[in-house]
Amino acid sequence: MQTDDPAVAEIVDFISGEVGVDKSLLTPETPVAELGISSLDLIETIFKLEGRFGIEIPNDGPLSGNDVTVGTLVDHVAELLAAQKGKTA
Amino acid sequence: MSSRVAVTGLGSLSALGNDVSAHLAGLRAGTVGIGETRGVDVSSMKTKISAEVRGFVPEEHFEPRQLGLLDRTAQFAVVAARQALLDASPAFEGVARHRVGAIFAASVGSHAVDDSYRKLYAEGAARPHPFTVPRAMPSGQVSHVTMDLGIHGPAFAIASACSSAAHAIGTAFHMVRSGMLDVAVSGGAESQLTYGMLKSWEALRVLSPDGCRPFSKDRAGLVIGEGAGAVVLENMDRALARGATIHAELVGFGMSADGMDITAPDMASAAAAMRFALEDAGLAPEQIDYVSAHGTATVLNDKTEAGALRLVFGDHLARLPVSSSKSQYGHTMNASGALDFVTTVLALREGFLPPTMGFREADPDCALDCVPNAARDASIEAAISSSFAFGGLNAVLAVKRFG
Repeated sequence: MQTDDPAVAEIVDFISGEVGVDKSLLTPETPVAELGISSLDLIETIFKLEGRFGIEIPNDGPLSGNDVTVGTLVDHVAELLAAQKGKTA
Repeated sequence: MSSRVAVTGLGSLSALGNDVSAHLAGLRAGTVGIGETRGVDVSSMKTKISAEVRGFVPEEHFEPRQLGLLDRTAQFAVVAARQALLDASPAFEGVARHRVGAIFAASVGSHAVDDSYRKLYAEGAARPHPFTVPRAMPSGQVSHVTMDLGIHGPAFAIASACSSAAHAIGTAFHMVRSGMLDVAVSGGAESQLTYGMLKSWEALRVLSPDGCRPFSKDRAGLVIGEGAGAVVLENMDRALARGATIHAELVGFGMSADGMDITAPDMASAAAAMRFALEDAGLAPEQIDYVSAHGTATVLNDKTEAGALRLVFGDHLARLPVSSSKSQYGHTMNASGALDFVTTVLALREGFLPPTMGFREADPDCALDCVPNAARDASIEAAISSSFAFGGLNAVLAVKRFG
């Protein structure tokens, strides 16, 4: 989770706003389950990330487990975003 | 041993207003809450009118995070249930956790379905909103009522089209009367005011283009409404012991199925449901002072209902006022049994006959005193509230004035 990467920073900002958690708490190791949000909140956040960044997050990807960390979430979104940019470039 | 059942709380949202006092004032004043539909683009429809709940601001009732999971239907159910519980407060105090139940109408979250399908089909979205399923599920309204009010006993939703809420209240009545529950919150909510549902109703050719005129010879069909009704039902001894305000006593419930047709009603079967309600209540037909009719203002319903009333009440029908409040707040579908029940309880408690508005011309097929065009003061001791749903599922509630 390269927080100095502007793309990653944008993703972190978006997640922070959506789940109502301060950015400083969104460290790579933090389990998403410990952010005080429900599993439904996470599903809605994923849906909004798809809409915001024009990507499709697969149901069977790295976010399908119960122990997803903030780092896994952000990196996965960043990878999908980079892949998409590669396609359209 | 069976218990008597008190109605100790009322809640409502309708085209007449967003609480019980506004609903009552509208009933008494003969207000017609039907008007041009504002919430849906009806420019491509012949029928441009409906009976909308106006001025309802969801954010005044729910937190943003909570709101994402509630269809408009569930929002109405929760708000009406909160009103009823507040009215009956403190109805749950001292009651064992599992002896409070919630029985509501089952209504599809039509707005969730409509919004999501539009995005999928028309706008080519990759996915619908992930909360489409919890918002659309027909048990959503009763689940949210249990979460909001803290109910932990028997809770479920009943589907019988336009009788759903009457079946729900009747079932809750049975559960309190039998001693299974001390308190039940019951009722139903519905909002089918979406583009897809309005087009679907229009396709069925039952909508009036220009108003709801039950029992009038020139009646032209029903007007879709939205809203919710909720009641708190309570063991009478307990209600008396805690000094609760008792709005009325629920005394009987009658049910029948036509077993004939998916839309056309059956006179004998509707009559049977009314008769069963009277028998259950131990009331003779002559003891009934008011009938809150199903009265949808379709040609066939009103004629069939008038015939059924004749079968049940005979000569007493000449002295029996029968009105349809759908002329004021539209046909609220799965909520209508609850809203009509609230209307009937108010009529008993306040001593007046709600009117049938829009009445223009007597119909020999509907020879009734339908309380045309203005409410009347009247002392009512006992009344019935009838729901005769599509598919021939009938539910009639009998209620008596208390005190």
